[in-house]
Amino acid sequence: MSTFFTVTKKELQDHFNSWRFMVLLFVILAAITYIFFAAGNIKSAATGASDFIFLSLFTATAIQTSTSLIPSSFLSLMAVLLPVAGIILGLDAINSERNNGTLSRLVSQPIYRDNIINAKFTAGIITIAIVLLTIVLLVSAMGLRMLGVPPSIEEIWRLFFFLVIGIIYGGFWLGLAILFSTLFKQVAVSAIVTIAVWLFFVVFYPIIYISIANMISSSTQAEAIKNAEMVINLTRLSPIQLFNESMAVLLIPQMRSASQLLQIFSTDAGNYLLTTPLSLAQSLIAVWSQITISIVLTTVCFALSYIKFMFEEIRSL
Amino acid sequence: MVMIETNQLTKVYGHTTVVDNVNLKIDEGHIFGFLGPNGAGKTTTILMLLGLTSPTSGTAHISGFDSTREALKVKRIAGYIPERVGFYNDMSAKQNLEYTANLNGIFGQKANQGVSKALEDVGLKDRAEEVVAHFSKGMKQRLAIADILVKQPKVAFLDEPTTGIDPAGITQILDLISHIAKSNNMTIVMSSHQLSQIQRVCSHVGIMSKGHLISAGSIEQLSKQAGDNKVVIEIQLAEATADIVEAIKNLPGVIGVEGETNSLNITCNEDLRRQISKVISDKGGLITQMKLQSYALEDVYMKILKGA
Repeated sequence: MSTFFTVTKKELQDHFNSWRFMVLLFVILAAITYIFFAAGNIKSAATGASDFIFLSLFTATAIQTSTSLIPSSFLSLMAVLLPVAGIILGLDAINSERNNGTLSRLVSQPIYRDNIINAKFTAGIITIAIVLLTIVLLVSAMGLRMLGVPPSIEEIWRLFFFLVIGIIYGGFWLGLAILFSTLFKQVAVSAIVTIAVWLFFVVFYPIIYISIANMISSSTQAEAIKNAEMVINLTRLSPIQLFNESMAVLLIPQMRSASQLLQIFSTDAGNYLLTTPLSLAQSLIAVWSQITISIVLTTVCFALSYIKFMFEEIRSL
Repeated sequence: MVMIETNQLTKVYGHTTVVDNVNLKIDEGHIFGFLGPNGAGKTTTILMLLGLTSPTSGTAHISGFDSTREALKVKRIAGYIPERVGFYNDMSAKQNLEYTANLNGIFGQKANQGVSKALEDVGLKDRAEEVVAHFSKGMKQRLAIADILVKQPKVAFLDEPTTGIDPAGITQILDLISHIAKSNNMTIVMSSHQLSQIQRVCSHVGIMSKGHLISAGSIEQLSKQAGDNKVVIEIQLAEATADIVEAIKNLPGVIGVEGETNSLNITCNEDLRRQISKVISDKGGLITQMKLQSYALEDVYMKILKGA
């Protein structure tokens, strides 16, 4: 096992010393500016109406935008930035070592080959965890100062689950980036393909399901509900949607089920919601399937790259 | 003691047989030259010996360990320099070697000492703290040798260690290879397509072509075998008198003498350097240079190269 820790340690050192980490620092800075605006909005709008003021820091609209491409709240910013972090950390994991000629030297050391890829994944996850934890702590500290409302125990637990799911979500994109870095020999190709997949889910996938939704005509109310459900299920093929839903339910305790999301994000949110919040356990049950699927997706990505890497021949070409 | 042994080792990619029933035996402490044109299957054979590629059929053993089944044990005692060796460019030479030491279970003070010693052995001690990105090709190759020394292996595989390096660098690296082999009693397998380099350091040679091991053995053996037992001795004299030339021609075993003014090429049945020098000194001549040429081996190798 000690070789696994040796490689993990080295990969972590690489991450922290590299330009990637500077990029991630900018991510943290961006997150903080969002909180700054969000706290201002919360102060001017809601005053003691909700039991979960502290959590609303993370979900409140920080920037009013007309386009969906610019994230409006801290949560939607995270939905964009976690993939970026995952992709940045994993996009050249294997193929840059291969191109450099370090991989063939590495595999000729007395080390199990899976230790290499496991360590790379672990180091990426640890880095994402550190970044996300830093962001949440910074944001909490700033929120505490600006709002003057301390988080309740339940809010802390909800934030903990936010961290866990955020790491899994970042891990999915990390796994995807590592997968493409084992599949493609050129760093540029693997980077472009990974970013293309991400852009597909961010930009083009919504276009696809929105146009499908527009094509379906519904005469009766029952049909309309059925169609709406179908569209929701379509959106759930996207890992971004899975993240958004599970996060929203966890951070907005009033939200009863993930299906309400569409309405929430399209119209004025609160109107459709019952005001009594769910308990943490009930919220978790509501999004349990989303969380499970996210874990499965992450595992599948990693497993595929694992298999590819284990059976691949490493020549110094 | 046999250090490296292969038995009917074969590797097939799709429909091409890259390595075809290779039977190889290399004794402990030998420097073995693996000779052959590009694509002859040298690298694949080395990769199978190291357990980095599994053979289609046949077996490979290093120091009694099965390369396929006991790959980790093999990697513990075998060092490998790939043809295009690379280091982490943003790390210093020392950090790179320490990483290798750690991967081999050597940590702390011991790793530190091992790394310093290895860098000193290859003459990179002064540049230990420098980032590898600034290193020249020749320096990287020497660093690769240090990388192997850190591991203290019983066997080292060097795949084309001299490609892309200037002549002075080549001399340096070849000297280094024979030096480390002697001082660490290391068995070395070095692949190359240049006969002259192999002849400079290797005691034994194997010639590969199109996946077949055409012949293997000590250099003298091969030269004899290849050239119908003919040996060419090249000498330079201060003055080549007709008297001396006549005396050499009359030596038993000498087949022919040719050459101009003061340099002579003597073809004989066996290595007659001792007898020839005696004859010359008896006649009062002075030898300025004497070299045993293995034209015969080169002929064979050239034939193989042309055939391939």
